[in-house]
Amino acid sequence: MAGTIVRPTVAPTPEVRRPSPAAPAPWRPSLRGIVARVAVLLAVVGAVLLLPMLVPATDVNVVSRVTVFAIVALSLNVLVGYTGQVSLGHAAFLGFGAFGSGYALTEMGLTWPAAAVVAVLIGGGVAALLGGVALRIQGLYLALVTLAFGLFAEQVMFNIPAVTGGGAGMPAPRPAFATGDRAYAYLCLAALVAVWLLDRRVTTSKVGRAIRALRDSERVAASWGINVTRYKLLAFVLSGSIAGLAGALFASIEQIVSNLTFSFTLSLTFLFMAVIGGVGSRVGVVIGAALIGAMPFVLDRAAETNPGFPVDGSAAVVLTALLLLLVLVRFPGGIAQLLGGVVRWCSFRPWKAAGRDSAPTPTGGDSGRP
Amino acid sequence: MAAPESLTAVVDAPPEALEDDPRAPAAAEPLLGASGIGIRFGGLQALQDVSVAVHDDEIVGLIGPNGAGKTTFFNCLTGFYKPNTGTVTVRGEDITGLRPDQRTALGLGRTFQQVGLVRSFTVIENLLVAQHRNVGYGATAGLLGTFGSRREERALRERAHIVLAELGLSHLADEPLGGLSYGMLKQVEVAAVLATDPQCLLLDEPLAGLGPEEAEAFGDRLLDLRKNLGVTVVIIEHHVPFMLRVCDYVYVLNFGQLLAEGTPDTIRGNRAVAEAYLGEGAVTLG
Repeated sequence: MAGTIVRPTVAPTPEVRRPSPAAPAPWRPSLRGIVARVAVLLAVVGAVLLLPMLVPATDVNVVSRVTVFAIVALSLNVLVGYTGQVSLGHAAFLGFGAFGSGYALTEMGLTWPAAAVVAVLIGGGVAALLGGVALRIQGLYLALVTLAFGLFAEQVMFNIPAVTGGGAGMPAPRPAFATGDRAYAYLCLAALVAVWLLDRRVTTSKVGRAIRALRDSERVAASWGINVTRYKLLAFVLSGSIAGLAGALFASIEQIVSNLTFSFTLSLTFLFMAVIGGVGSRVGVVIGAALIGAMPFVLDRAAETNPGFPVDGSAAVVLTALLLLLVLVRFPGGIAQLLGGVVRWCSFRPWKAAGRDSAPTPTGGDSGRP
Repeated sequence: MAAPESLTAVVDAPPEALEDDPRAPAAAEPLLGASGIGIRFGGLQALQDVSVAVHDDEIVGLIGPNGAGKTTFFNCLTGFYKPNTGTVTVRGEDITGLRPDQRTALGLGRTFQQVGLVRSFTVIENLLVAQHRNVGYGATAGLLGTFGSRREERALRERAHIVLAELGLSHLADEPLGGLSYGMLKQVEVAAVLATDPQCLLLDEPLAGLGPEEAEAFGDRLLDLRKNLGVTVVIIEHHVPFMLRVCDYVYVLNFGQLLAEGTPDTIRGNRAVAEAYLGEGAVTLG
């Protein structure tokens, strides 16, 4: 009896294998819709690409800095958004990447790309250690451990003169192909695009689905054959590696790495970027990082140029806090929630959300509803 | 392990319960077997010496009053609990030491009493994750987005739709789980577990939240599924008439021990079972 039975994966029966098995035809925008979407996307891409050209030469490093912050925010989003674990020590990953790259460049004499690889490996390796802890504790307690980890890295690890250059800092020269500020800004933007695409692949493939399933319920994930240990570690390593890459980029913006940079406040800022931008959303997190990363600088410039401007860069902290409150109370999905329609529209889908609005026809004859 | 002989030793079921066991000649290796399972939580002996055998293409029921240890037993079978004594086997191979995900790879698929689905996903996404272990491409290929991985993603989606169609849930494919009723969620959960391509489906109270007619329809569907896909099923359910209709063989748990086992007919007439369910003095469940 068992031998005659046809399992779906082995050989679908003709009966089960209908011409198009109930899969609805995907929605397609009209020609005009396509043109409009392409135009908007090109405008956005153009604006971002022109940014390093448009800002004054002395401010190009700010663009690089904000871009690197966006990469860190994306890496944090892997943990907070996809696995649902909070990291309060993400600046430490940035620091490990930065010092690792600086050490590789200055002390080992490696080329910049090789140093970036070293930074990625160090970031991933350290994250694997933290991931080992995360296998045992979760939630608030894990957040406290990451906090302790961040403080330990800042206070102890980054103060070892032999590897971090002590108070003088560790030099991290730029790569030969991007020594100028503008060229380096484009390198950072290119890295952001690469990380964005990688993250996109993660979320739409097996790995990302497994990781996000773990966030909801490890038991359910395990019951579907997902190796909980492996995918949790993978998420941490992925996050740490991306942050390590960001560290390598960060180190060469000012071309010197100082141990004072990677403070708890910076870790917290990254978390704010992710939350205000919209946890779990790529677009939101990058916009959040750009907004909060650029805010102090933009306010400073505004105060310098027009004397009547009420605040300067130091108000950014207060504004960020207010934004955070506003998000927590009114828009739990952050900027991404506000931009939901725009994002859907730009990704060649209808403006309105699918699902509830396009609910199935009421219980019909062949709907098979029991 | 010849199931009936070893079982009579441990089960103090009335002799008539085993008398006309239709499976007696089926000496073949059971698809899923458990022998002498015992587990203790602190001072509570939750299960003691429970042995079952599930053969290919059977629908086996596990009934018993609240707190009898049915779900605990499921957790032992699927690896979420480690029993203190006894072994779990799949086709004779000892799997007692394996993790839940490894057991899934061996063909055990289960549902949970509290709906086991990923709440933040849509229905179709749940079925995609559930096919995790059938995804052929590796992590790197997935990250690079190779041609092969994309083609396979389409195949996964196709298959998810086939499974939904099989359960009559196609119209829910793109729904977020938030909008579905409890009964619907339980149905989607069964679809998700089917998507893992199990040899043996373990359903923990699949009828919860369903009305009588829906429960009836679900029973028909289950019988169809077995006929079409050849899935072996183990069900925990309180709904005795449903169980006696659908199941080929029924085990009755009471206070962590097997009280009786047999075909639905023998269980129906079993005085001990009736007493466990309905109180002392009851004669039959009928």
